[in-house]
Amino acid sequence: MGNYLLCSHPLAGKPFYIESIHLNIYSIEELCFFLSTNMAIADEVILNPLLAEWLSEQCGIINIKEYNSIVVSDEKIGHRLYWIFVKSHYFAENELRKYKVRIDAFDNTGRMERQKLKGDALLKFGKYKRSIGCYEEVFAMQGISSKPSFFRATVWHNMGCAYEKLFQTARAVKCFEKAFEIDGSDIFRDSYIKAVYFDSGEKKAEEEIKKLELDDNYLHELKRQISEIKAKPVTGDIQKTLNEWVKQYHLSVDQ
Amino acid sequence: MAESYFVGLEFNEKEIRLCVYDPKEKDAVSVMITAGGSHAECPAHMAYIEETGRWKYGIEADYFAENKGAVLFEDVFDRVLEGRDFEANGKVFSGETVVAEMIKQAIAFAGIKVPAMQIEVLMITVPKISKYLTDTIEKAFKRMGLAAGQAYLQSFDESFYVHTYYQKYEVFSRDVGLFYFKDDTTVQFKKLHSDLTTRPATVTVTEGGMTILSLDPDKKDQEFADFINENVRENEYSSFFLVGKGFDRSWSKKSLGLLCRARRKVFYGTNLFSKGACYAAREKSSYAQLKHRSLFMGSDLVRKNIGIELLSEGIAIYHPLITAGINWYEAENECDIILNDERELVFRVSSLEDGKKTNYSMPLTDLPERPAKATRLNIRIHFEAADQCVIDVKDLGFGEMFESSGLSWKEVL
Repeated sequence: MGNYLLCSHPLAGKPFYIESIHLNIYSIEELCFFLSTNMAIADEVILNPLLAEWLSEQCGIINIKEYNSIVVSDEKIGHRLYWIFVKSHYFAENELRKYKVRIDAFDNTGRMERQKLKGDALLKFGKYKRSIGCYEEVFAMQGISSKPSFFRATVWHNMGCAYEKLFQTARAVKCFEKAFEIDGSDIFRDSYIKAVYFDSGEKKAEEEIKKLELDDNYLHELKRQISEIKAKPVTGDIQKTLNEWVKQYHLSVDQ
Repeated sequence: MAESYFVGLEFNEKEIRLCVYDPKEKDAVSVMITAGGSHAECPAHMAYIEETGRWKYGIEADYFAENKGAVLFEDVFDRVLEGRDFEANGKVFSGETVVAEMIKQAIAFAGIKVPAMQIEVLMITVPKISKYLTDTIEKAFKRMGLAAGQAYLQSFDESFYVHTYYQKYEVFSRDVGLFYFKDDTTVQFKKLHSDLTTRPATVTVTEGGMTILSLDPDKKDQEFADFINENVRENEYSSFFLVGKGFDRSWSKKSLGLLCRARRKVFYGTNLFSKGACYAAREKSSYAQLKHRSLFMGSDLVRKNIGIELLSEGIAIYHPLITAGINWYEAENECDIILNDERELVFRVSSLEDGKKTNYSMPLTDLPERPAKATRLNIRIHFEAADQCVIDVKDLGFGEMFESSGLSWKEVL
């Protein structure tokens, strides 16, 4: 038997808009998919007061009183999230059980970890400025210095990625450098050196490589990787591609 | 409260006839549909008057064409059947425009000036059905402002069945024969058979022979008698209907005597199909009386159940898309589904007659890779003929997260 799911309602005439990532949601199925794959920013949806009305008017979910009676806060959205999953019938029984475990685990995740995950999700959606804001909030939280070095380094590293996407290469270099300082593993080292290359050029990158006493093969490999990136041509309509990049950039720095 | 009507309209290659259900008479009665109230039928002609941009129908169409230079169409039914437009003085009019106008003018003679408000149910009955005809008539209904459930189409065979079953039981206690005089010489035979052992009784109409009779009255009677003997076996029939203006008692002494043998009842008239359509219109309402007694197994009937197994509100079910027992031109359905990780759709088809089940697989070639449960498909199923089911599937993507590929697939069962 096929595991097709019958859509119980037509597509919403009026979509639900997730402002932080500029995404319109047109059905309860899309909402469930989005929430299950982006739990880190599920609070942007769950805590939106317009969601109840949308679920009722556009998705035909009528137990809105029940929905509204579920206790929810900035840190505890799991019950409402699970309620939506159950009422939507989007997930099979075994999937629901799996998501229950994930939701409970997420609800019990620490604030710093959740904020970092949120930053990562926003980074994935191309909302670079907002993601940087999340990472900065992590560093402003009490107790950050007692967090494991890998965690702190990852936050700096990902912030660096966000700056790179904004073409703010100098700031990106500082972030990657910080990540490498906190945790000297290869992954952070490599990101730092590449960032130096893109910001200051090959000569500066070579200097850093020498400082770190890395062998000639390292530089050779670095150049090979960079030439591979540069060799990828832009296909299709160049002007259209450029316009799209500009549009995405504006959206990414949008408040 | 304003009165609303059950209306039956016969529309064939040559003529239109109209019946309306009279609650006082408790019967369908013919409506005179020509100016002056002199005829219960009129030619199925339409004429376009350039000066006024208006259409005339029936006898008036002939008059305006002959005397006022209107453009005459004598083949309205054939054009609609074949999906041809109506061209008049360089202007092109769609079939539904002309048909809607024709119906409106005909039913106006029954006092129906605002169809949407005054029609309870309208049933059009026709001798042949094609996809073009069903589409055109459906659009004509919409043009007239008629809602779904307010207007229908059915074949002559089905009108014959309904008309018969609205008679007393003795009329159809055995087989019923119909001699349809299409014109002065052409006669077609149809046989209505009821299997009274089933509940409800299943009824079929099969076509017998067709013949062309001589115009000479002396020869005509003998030829008709021969035709009767070819198609009718002695004790099978409880009654006969003679339908059409081509029949007349004056030349049919011998043949009538043949039909009346063994105390068989013989009825003659011209409005059997329009009356049957009128009764059928009533059958679509809460006044229906045949529903549990009989089931018409016409040649337009869909004989297969088509569905798909899926999850609905968390429960694994068989979701029916088409249920057997309805006319092919009324059989259509549509739904949206979410794919899990399948790359094909599997439909389950079961036969009404023997219950045999078959699975039909429809591959979704070139469907883009997406995560599980992130593809929405629209499935639309309809029929182009009684034995030709078409399934159209469209990739709707998944909102703004996964754009539609624009791909669609078609399968003909």
